[in-house]
Formats: sequence, C-alpha cells, structure tokens
Amino acid sequence: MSVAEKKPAGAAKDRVLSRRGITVTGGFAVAAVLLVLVPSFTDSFYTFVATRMLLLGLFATAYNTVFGFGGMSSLGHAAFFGIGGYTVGIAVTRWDWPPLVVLAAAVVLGAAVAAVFGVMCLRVRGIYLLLLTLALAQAIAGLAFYQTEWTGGDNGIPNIPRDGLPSSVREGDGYYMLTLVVVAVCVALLWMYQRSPLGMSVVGVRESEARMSATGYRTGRLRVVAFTVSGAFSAVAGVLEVYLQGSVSTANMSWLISADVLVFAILGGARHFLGPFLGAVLVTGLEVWVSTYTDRWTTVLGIVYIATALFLADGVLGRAGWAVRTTKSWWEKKSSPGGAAPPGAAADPAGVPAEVRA
Amino acid sequence: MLTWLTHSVNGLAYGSLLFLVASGLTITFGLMRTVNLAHGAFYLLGGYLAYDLTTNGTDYWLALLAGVLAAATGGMVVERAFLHRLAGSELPQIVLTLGVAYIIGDQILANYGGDPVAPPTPPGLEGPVTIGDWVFPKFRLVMIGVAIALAAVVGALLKYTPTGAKVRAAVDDEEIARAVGIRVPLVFLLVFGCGTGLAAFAGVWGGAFTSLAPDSGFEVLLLALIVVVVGGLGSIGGALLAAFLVGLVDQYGKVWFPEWALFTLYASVAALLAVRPRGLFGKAVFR
Amino acid sequence: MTEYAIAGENLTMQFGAFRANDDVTLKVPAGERRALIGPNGAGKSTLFNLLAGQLRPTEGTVSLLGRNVTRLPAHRRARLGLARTFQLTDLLDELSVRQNVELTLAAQTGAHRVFWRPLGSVGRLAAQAMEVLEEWDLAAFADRAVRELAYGQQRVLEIALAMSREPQVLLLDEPTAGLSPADAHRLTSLVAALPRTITVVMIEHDMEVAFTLSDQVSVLQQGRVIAEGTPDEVSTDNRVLEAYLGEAADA
Repeated sequence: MSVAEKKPAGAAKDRVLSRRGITVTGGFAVAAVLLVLVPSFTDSFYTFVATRMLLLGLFATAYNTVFGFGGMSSLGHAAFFGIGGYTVGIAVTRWDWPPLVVLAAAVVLGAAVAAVFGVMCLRVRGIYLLLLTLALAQAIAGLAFYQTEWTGGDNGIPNIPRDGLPSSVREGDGYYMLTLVVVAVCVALLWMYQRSPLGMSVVGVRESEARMSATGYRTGRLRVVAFTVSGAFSAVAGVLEVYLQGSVSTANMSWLISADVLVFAILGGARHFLGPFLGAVLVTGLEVWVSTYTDRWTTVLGIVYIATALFLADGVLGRAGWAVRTTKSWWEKKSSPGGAAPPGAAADPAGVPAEVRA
Repeated sequence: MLTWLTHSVNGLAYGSLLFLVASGLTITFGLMRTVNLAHGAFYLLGGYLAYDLTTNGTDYWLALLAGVLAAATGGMVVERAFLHRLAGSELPQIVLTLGVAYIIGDQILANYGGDPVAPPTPPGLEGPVTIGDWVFPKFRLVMIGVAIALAAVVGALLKYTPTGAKVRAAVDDEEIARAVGIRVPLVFLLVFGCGTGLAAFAGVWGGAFTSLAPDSGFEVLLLALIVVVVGGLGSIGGALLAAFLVGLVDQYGKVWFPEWALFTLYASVAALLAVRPRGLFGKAVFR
Repeated sequence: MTEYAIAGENLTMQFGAFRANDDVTLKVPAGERRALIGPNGAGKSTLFNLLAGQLRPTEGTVSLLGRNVTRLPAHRRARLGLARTFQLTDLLDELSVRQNVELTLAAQTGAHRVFWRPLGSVGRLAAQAMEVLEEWDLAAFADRAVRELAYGQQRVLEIALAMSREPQVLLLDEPTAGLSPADAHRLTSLVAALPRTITVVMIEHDMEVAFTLSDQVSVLQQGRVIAEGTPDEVSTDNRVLEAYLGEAADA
C-alpha cells in the first residue's frame, strides 16, 4: 500500500515561514514599494496611465470572478462598469453626494443589476451565455443612451466636480495614491473571497455542477453569488474611472469594454488570480507605447487579439506556469537518473470502459 | 391609418435589412457554429469598397460585385488561415474575429475618415412608389422582397440540392461526412466565403439605406447576432421571422416610447433567450 | 407500512419517443445491499438519476427515508442523507484532492457560507479532511490535483467523498468500471466493509462483484424490471439468462 505522509497540524504556519512563503511575501513587499513610488518617478501623463492600469486591473480581476473562476463567459460586464460611472455622474452633479456614499450606492447598484443578470443566465451556457449577457448589457446601455434627462444621452455628463474628494487626492499623484489604496483593498477582498469556502464552491460549480449539487450545494444560487460579487467590484472600478476622467458617457458602457476585459483575462491567464490584472496592465501599457508611434492603435490591438486567440489560450501566466513546470520536471529527471516517478503520477488508466450506456 | 402602414412597412424594411446582414451569419454561425464577430466588418468592407468604386465612376453592379467578391475572399482567407484551427472553441473564435474586425474597422477609418458615407441606391430602384394615397420609397419595398426571396433561395439550396445536403452533412457530423468522401474543409471554406459575401452585399444595400461609418459595423453585427439567435440557430425561416419582428419592435419602440427604445428591444431579446435559449425555431439546446 | 430507505414506485421516464424507464418499482429496505443489473440500454443509470434527483420522472414517485422526494432537486435529497457516485467519474478535476474533500465536508456544516477565510482554515475542515484521506489511503495525494490521479484512485476518492458525508443511502454507479482487476478487488472489499447502517444500491456490470456484494438483485431490461431476488435466485432465473444470452445471440 502507498505510504501516507503525515502532515502535522502546524504545517500551515510552517508554510508561511517556508522559502516559498518568504519569497511570495518579499515579492509583494517589493511590488508595494514600487507601486507607491510610481508618481515620484513619472510625469503626470504616466501617472494618469498608471492610475488607469490599476483600475482596469481591478475591473479585470472582478470580471474573472465570473469568467475564469466561475466558468461563465460574460460579454456584459461593461454594464456594471458603466453603472458605477453613471452613479458618480448623476449623484455628484444632481445631489452633490460625498464620495463614500457614491461608492456605496455604486456597489449596491452594480451588485443588484449583476444579480439580475445572474438569475436570468441560470439556464444558459457557452455561446448562449455570451449572447444573453451581451443583450442584457445592451439593454442597460440603451437606458443610458435614451434616458437623456438623467444620463445626458450620447453626450453623457461632462465636467463632474471632484470637490467631494479631499483636496490632496483630487487628481494627479494624489488621485493615483487613492486609487492604489482602493484597488489594493478591493483586490485583497476578492482574494479572500476567492479562497474562501464560498469562492471555492463557485469554482466547484465550474468544475462539475452535477457533483456539487449531488453534494448538497445550491448551484444556481452560487452562480448568482458569483455575478453579484463580480458586479459590485466592477462598479467600483467604474467609479474610479469617472472620478479620474471627470466625465461619463455611453462609451463607459460600450460592449467594446466588455470585449476588452474578456481579452485582459484571457491574455493574462484566466485560471490565475492575478492573470487578468496582468493582462490589463500589458494591454494598457502597449496602447500607450504604440500610440507614441502611430494612430493605428486599434489595428495593433486587433493583432494582439489575434495572437492571443491563436497562441495564448491559457494566457501569459498560464504559459509561464507551464514553462516553470516543464523546467522543474526536466530538472528533476536530470537530478535523479532512473528515479521512481513521484507517487500517484498519472499512469495510464487501465482502460476506460467503452460501453457507457446503462 | 396610413401612418401605421408606413411604420409597419418601415419596420419590415429595416427587418429585411437585418435579415440581409444576418443571412450570412445564419450560415456561418447558425449552421457551422463558427462565431464570426468580424461579420459587421465585412459588411463595412463591401459597402465602403462599393462606395469607393462608384464614386470613381465604376458601374454600380460591378462595384457591388467587387465588394462581394472582396469580402468573400477576405472571409475565406481568415477561415483558412486562422479560424479552422479554432473549430469548436468559441472563446478563441470570438477573440480572433474581434481582432480581425478591429483591424478592418481601423483601416477603413484610416482610409476614409470617420464621417458617414453612403453607396448609391441601386439604379432603377430610386424614387417612390405610389399606391393610391400611400407613398413609400421603392428601394425599401424591393428590399423586403429581396429578403424573402433570399431566405427562400438559401433555404431551398440547403434543403433540396446535393450541395446543400453536403453542407448539412458536414455540419452535422464532420467525421462521417469525411468518411463518405465529402471534402469538409473545402465545404467550410466556401460556406464561410458565402457568409461574408452576403454580409458585403448587405453592406452595399444597407449603406444606401442607413449610411456607413467605421463603427456602424458593430451595431449591425449585434443586431444580426440577435436575429440569428432569436430565430434559432440553423433556421433560415426563423431568422427571417426574427428579423421582421426585431424591425417592427424597433420601429414601434421608437414611435411609442422613444426613451425606452433600445432597452425594450434588448430586454425582450434577453427575456426570450433566458427562457428559451434555442430561440423560436432552433433545435433544443443541450447543456 | 414498512419504511424503505429508498424507493421508486411506478417510475416512468420518457425522453421524447423513447421510454427509458417503464413503470419501474424498486424498494430497498434499510441496511440492504441491492445490486441493479441488466444489459446495456436497460435504463439503470436513468433509474439512478430519478432516485437521486438529476431527473424528474414523467410518472411515478420517489421516496427517501420515508419521505416523498419526487419534487425535490438533487441538492435537497443530498442534504436528506443521500450520496451517489457517477458512472463517469465526476470530480472537481482542477482542484486538489484535499480541496475536494473539504468542499464536500463544508456542505454539511455552516462552513460553506464563510466568505472571508481560506477554505482550509475554517473550523476543523482541514483536520477532518485529512482524517478522511487517511482512512481511504489517499493522504499522500492530498495536494495533487485530482486530474493527476490514476483512474482507480479517482474512483476510490469518489466513494470516499460520498462516505465522508455520512449518508444513509449510497448509490454507486458502476463502481468498478474501468478498473484493473487488482483495483476492482480492492474497491469491492472497501464496499463490503461499509457499515450496515448504510443502505447501498449499486449498478454493476461485473456479475461476480454484484453477486458477492449484494443481498438482493434487481434485473432491468429495456426499461422494465424483469426479475428480483437473491443472487442465487436471479442467476438461475430463465428470464434473466434470456435477457443476457438473447442479446449475445442477436449481436
């Protein structure tokens, strides 16, 4: 019989202090310091870009709650992003709400609308899910377009005052720091959610709905939960965008945004928590760089999309992980010539039955 | 009374345009299950090319043909070079065809600018038709007829001809089709080319109806997708019916509650899809 | 009236023109080991899906531990004490073995509602999961992804997951299918060792396994129950022999 390696109960603590734990914590510390120092090294344009990278990274991470982790492909997330933005536009210009109230309202609205999306999508999968979420988002965008009295129609709401924010964080470097803090907190919350029993059970539904429901989970409810969480945090990103830009319009709800965030997630690696964030940073960075040379950024973006579809189906992080694993096993094979394969290695199963009808 | 007639026929005419656009998509998406989000871009391609040629003196019908052929060729290149590798995977297809659409759209923007353009109304179809007290543009009436005729022709081709049988066989079961000697890759290639060619034709006529701009490709694509899915994947008649319905809902939506126009349309579509994913006439959807 | 652990009465399942189960009645008393056998296409897995709640019958009723559960969805029946395995192993492949067990255990307690602490750190989940894995000799693979396990081990894990929920009724859908003789033998011993407080119904193609493990055997053919009895009775029943040999003769 196989040898059971007993893991002592204190193993969890040991893991944090292990080499891997120190490397990871160290990495985060370095990243944190660098992020905080960004504005001191760059001029206002690049600080602006960095701010956008952060909020789009949050949007992509929130999106992935439903996409990579929930296994549900949505083309409708622009709706939640836009709802966050319009909440700012309407609440500030009409009623002068303070930013915390605006944020809370945006989160509630984003979550509520996302929950509706989730409920309506319970019976659909695959391409139908993509189209249904798209249709739903277009319905919301239609409201933005035609309810001109509220939303300003196609022109949107320009000149949104930022007086509600404390003066030190109203724009430029200060706003970057504010965004950094908000994004860091939200990403941390999403990380905690993702690893929690609730977040993991959504992943379970992605893996096998039949197994989860046979275990006693209400899979429909879990799908709606995933959407709700995703919508809430997407709205936060939308709020950050509008305070940054100072205006909101139907462009904030355009389905091109939904397509973009889908590609961020795929490009960065949808099965990795930080993959989508990386995708957002890469594409935004590429846009800035390419735009210094040519007006034809959209063409380049199209090429990026094509390359991603053809070569990067599991994303940059996915490829990186594959490369690391391949190198590791090559290294292991070299260090133990003729060594036994690790226990439980996937030996070929003794023939899966051909007859599966009963 | 006559206003209702005008509204209704306008709605049907718009629906006909949608069907013209969607006809190519019913074939590539409805039949082949290949997602082509560049469909709108080929619509634009046909329209802009025809506009360019006719503005420089080419005969209308030749320009139309050129546009269609260009799009058909472009479509076949995309299919052969990229899409056939992604068979069965919708997400990569979506991302890839979006990329193609972005490139085509941007190149059009670069070459023609962002202001709307319009290919001319087909010669012989300009002007109004007068029936008693009722006046209506001839072109739009003809469009309704063309949509119905197109649906009938494509449906008949698929159902009653050996070519159509080969296409249906290749779509239903690729392996068996190959085993019987049908050259499946060639079939898919040609079918895809027909799809994009039809999109271009719709672009030339649609452009005359509603004019063209670099980003109108996506609006048109969205509506075409909806028409195909609401009608039911694989059903040409379903797509025609759905197109007429969408056209009428859109028209009356704008007339009765203009502030809710787009919302009503898309919300109705969403409600239908949520409850009945297979649309009106599609085969049952298995999870 | 005797209360059966699990019972299906007059179950009919119609798929369009096809009748997968035709007026099937199956009543299993508590603690019994029941084998469900029959040639291919007999409707055995469909019957399981009706009993466990993946399907709603066209006609008929299902009762679980004395309670009518016909209208209840699968997850409700699971919470009432029913556990099942699937014919084609259906596990959470990308997650680790440990996580599969933890999620199964979490479903039983309020743990599954926690949304701020990591899965492994909630209550005693991690410790309980390790206990389960050690019991089934899978502890060495705790942190491997399920898809890396050999097929035989996945089958064992499935049963481990089902048993970890301390069910009162266990449905095993072809537990030894696809296993090597050694693995099948091991699995059979594991099932034989299950306590009699649990009622076990199993679909099996392997006659030896079915007859060794069961107290009673029900035979299905073309959607109908054609015979029922002890393994001895069934193995000598002419109708059963005809059902199997008849098929072989036609083939």
